[in-house]
Amino acid sequence: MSTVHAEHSSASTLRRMARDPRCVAGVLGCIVIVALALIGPAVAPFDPAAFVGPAFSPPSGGVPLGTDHLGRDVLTVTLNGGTAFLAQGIGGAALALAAGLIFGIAAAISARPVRGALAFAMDSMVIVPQILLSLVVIAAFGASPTTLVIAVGLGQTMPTARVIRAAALRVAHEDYYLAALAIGENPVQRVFREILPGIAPTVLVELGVRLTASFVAIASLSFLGFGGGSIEWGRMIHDNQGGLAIQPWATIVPVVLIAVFLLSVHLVRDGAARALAEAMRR
Amino acid sequence: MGARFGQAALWCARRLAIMVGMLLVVATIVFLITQALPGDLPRQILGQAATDAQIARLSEQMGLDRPLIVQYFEWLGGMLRGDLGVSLASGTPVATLMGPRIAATAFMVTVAAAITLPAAFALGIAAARRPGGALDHAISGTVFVIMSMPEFVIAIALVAILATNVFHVLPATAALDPRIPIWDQANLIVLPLIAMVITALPHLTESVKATVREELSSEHVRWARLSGIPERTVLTRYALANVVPPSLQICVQTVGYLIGGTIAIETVFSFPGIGSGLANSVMTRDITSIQSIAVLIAAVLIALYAVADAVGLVFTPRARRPVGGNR
Amino acid sequence: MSRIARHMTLRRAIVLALALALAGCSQSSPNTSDSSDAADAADSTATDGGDAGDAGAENGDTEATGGTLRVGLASLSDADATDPAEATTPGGYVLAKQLFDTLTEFGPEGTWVGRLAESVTAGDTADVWTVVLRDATWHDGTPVTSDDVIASFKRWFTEDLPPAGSLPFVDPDGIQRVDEKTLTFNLSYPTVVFPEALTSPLMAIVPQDFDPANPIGSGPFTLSSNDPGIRLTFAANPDYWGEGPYVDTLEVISYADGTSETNALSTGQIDLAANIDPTLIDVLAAQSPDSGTFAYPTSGTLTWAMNVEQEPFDDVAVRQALRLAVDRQQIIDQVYNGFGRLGNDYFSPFDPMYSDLPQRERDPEAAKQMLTDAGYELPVHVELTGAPNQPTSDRQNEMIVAQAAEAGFDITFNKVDVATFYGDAYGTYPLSLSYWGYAGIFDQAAMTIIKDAPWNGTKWNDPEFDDLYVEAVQTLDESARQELVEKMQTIEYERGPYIVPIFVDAIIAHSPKVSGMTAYPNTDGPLGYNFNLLRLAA
Repeated sequence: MSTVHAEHSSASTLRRMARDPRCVAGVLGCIVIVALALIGPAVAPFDPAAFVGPAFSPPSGGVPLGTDHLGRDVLTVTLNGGTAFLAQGIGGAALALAAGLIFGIAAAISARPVRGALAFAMDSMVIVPQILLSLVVIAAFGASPTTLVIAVGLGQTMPTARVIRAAALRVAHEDYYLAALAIGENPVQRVFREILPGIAPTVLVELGVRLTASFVAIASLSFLGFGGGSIEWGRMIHDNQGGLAIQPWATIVPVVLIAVFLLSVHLVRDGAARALAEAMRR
Repeated sequence: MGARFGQAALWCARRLAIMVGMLLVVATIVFLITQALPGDLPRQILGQAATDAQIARLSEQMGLDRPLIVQYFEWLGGMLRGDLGVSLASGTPVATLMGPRIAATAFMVTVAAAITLPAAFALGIAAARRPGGALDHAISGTVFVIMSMPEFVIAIALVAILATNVFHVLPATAALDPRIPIWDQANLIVLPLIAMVITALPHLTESVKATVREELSSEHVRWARLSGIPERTVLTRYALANVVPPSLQICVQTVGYLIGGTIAIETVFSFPGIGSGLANSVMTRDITSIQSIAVLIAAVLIALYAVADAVGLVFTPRARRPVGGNR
Repeated sequence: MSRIARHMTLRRAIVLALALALAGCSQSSPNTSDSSDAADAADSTATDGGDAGDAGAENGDTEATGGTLRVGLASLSDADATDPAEATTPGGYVLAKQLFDTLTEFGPEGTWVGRLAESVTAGDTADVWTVVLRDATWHDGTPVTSDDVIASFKRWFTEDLPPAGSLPFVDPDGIQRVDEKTLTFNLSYPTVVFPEALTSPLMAIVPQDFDPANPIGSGPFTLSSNDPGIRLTFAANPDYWGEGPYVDTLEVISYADGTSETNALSTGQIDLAANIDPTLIDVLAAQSPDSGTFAYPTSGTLTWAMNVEQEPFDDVAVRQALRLAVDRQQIIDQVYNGFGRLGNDYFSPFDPMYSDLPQRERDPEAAKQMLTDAGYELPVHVELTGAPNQPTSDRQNEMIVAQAAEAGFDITFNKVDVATFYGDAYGTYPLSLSYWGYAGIFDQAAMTIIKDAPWNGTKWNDPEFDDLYVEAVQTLDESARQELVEKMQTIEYERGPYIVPIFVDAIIAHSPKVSGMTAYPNTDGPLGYNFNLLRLAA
């Protein structure tokens, strides 16, 4: 019964989202940015490692957006820098969400002493400054794209776990969960049949939150000089912001792309939250 | 009355025990993760040319050659006595070394929070009262745009617009002189303060808005409206009472962000705050400073969460009271 | 390169006899540029907001004195030591240079001159050296004596401080007091390197009862306050024996990076940005047209070290191929905005004996051929380890990755932080970038090239080179030594472990009020951290 309930609600949620112009705009924005990142390398006018002029030259004929801090074509670097940036951000968010789901659900439905201990550990871990976790991971394993993902994902695991736990606890008090418990469903069945469908709205919204937080965190770490060696938009801002006064495009273009993407994610997330709230109300 | 007092005392004692326990857990975690840092401090201090003998001697002086467990308990004992220890990198007490940073951050966070918290509540409630209204759209739109930008982008934009490129009205950096009171260098901190407030606002505003909106559409508010209670009273008495406790948690999160999470803003302005102090200590492998600062931040946050819980408790009984009942 | 090389060949004429007493030499107004040194002046570029161009080493308006000079530096650190012997950071060097004096220093000409020593002279065999001190006083008014010098040297050895490791030829028991101002050093073995080896700020002379918590020295400034990692404040020492200081107060303020330093200068928060990024010069001109920049070539270099104990650099063919893969001019153009000079895989362009070997040019095809001939399958995989030890380090590393790709190399750039870089794995990286220079040929060799040199991260060990080094440092005859040096540098050029691609320029940005900028090409730090020479107009 709960499954039916959840399916019905997700179908109607999707319909609601499709009718919401802001949500649709968000989806379109995401698609445009992701497409740009994926197709970009193929359509870039230059080799991303090619030096096409002096550092920070303003736009000119063959170089429509000017050059970056190393004299590479900003357009080319931008078109090549999307995949890594998106992959790292999505990776960080996915890691945080996956780990957060495991800890959060475990802390909500396991036996009482484990439950208490997990909740306590989570509440404590949240207090440890996130930036410290990230910095230590990067210092310990070097600044590669993978460690960046781990650093960012790890930093956000506990905040995510707390949100999931709260949502899972609500479900655990619902009649249908108690019924499932009564008819003797095992924990795995309970998680997949009752908890996950029940917390799906929260997970969806939390995914949006973690996506934006991951992108912001990766961009910030890159800005602080802890970025990996790959070309990506966050690093472009770090590398080129010194030249803002003479070659703003090298900074503004990645800033705008990141902002458009994050704005789109926000719109989708917000639309989803609205649609879910309405669906719940029915 | 006596029973209620006893309950409160019990609650406080329990709460205190949890706080101390959390702090211990945090301290242990922090201690363990600093041990994972590669590269050691003696080598940092002595440089590349140092011989193994020199490094061993310095390690011994610093007490780094002792068993980990001994180092742990000595450090923990010091922390419990309020002794932050001696910075390994500079040889001066961490309190002396980080004092100016702690003072600067404390001042900035207080001012930023004093602006951010009321502003976020005002904006959040204003946006929630008429969902879909012009104000809601304007506030949500702005909040979205700001949330979509990493904080350093906002900081850089502020510098470019107000200091270096467009208007030249404010100093571009905030390298405070620790010898002079901060309020005598107020012009230096205007830009970082604006940046902090702008980046801290959206999250809290959004959450206040969402909670208020949910509350306003709840059964008991609908009931209160139907019974003809004025909208203002509905808002203040029924909605806000339920909005404050959950929002307090987010308020503490916001303050926590202002304390330790604004390192990118500190970097843009070269502001000598605690976030960049922590990052510098990680860079120099000054593990006593890292441990002490991290635990200090954690202690402040735990205390704030406790305050938030206590305040929340004051609100909760009222919120639970049947709607329309007597005071 | 050719420009410096030619200049250096000319310089050989102006041979500096090592046994020459330098009495008074450094006193003769070190900030007047010698006109015969046209190359120096031509190479230092200075721009000014107006068109009142600064000369290479400018004197400015000599009347301007007093005031508070605010210097921005990226960055101070908690680890800045007040004990000069333990200085490893820019802040530590700043402290050492303001508070103390070394016996000798590399002057504006790039060759060594006396500082606290009035003269440093060798006996007939270069194993006995006589040092005569000038009349100087400590900050507390007591005179600097031979006993202080002896105590300083003994302290390094008994406390096993870093300078001890760089002075293998000094026998702490062989230092004799002759009189209050004169002492002799009986070295363990003869060496002409002695005076040059004493130029490092780490070798600053401290009083007998030195206390790092209350650092009293003989330098141009006294320390008023020290907020580690944030700000250093100095007061002028009115009794300084040497030139200046012209300002009353010196503040050295920490900035996160060159960009915020530049911003601080544009908005009048500092008077001088100590070392800005070459790409920021145009930014500064756009933001703050009044400010000027002062740039001069130095012997500092960001050098790639190839570890000969690691594959594939155990093979000299691979080392030579990678040297051919590097486009040095492109590095200068792209990374340094033109503010750099070509390197030729050996060090110390300001040493009068710097060799004039043919400039190595980029030849990716030849590099590929070399690799194939040596039996490698292309591309050859190499791991490059780098840390941001200089603002341009990451960029330079990215350049070699891109350049070497066209010459049959596949380089993976592993970016680590500075503490990790100099940590336990130091010396095991197949390829890494180090920041060096600011030393004479022999000092550089002793520190980074010869067997067991403390900073030799390449593990290179070439007995022929080491023999030549040992012979050369003991050879008093100028031209004989010159020949040996040329052989040494030819070996480095043909099979050495370093790629010395470029020598960097020092770039200082300043408000129009600041004058007295003087180039110190062979000294680390902007203006060699000689802030006592700077003046501030009201």
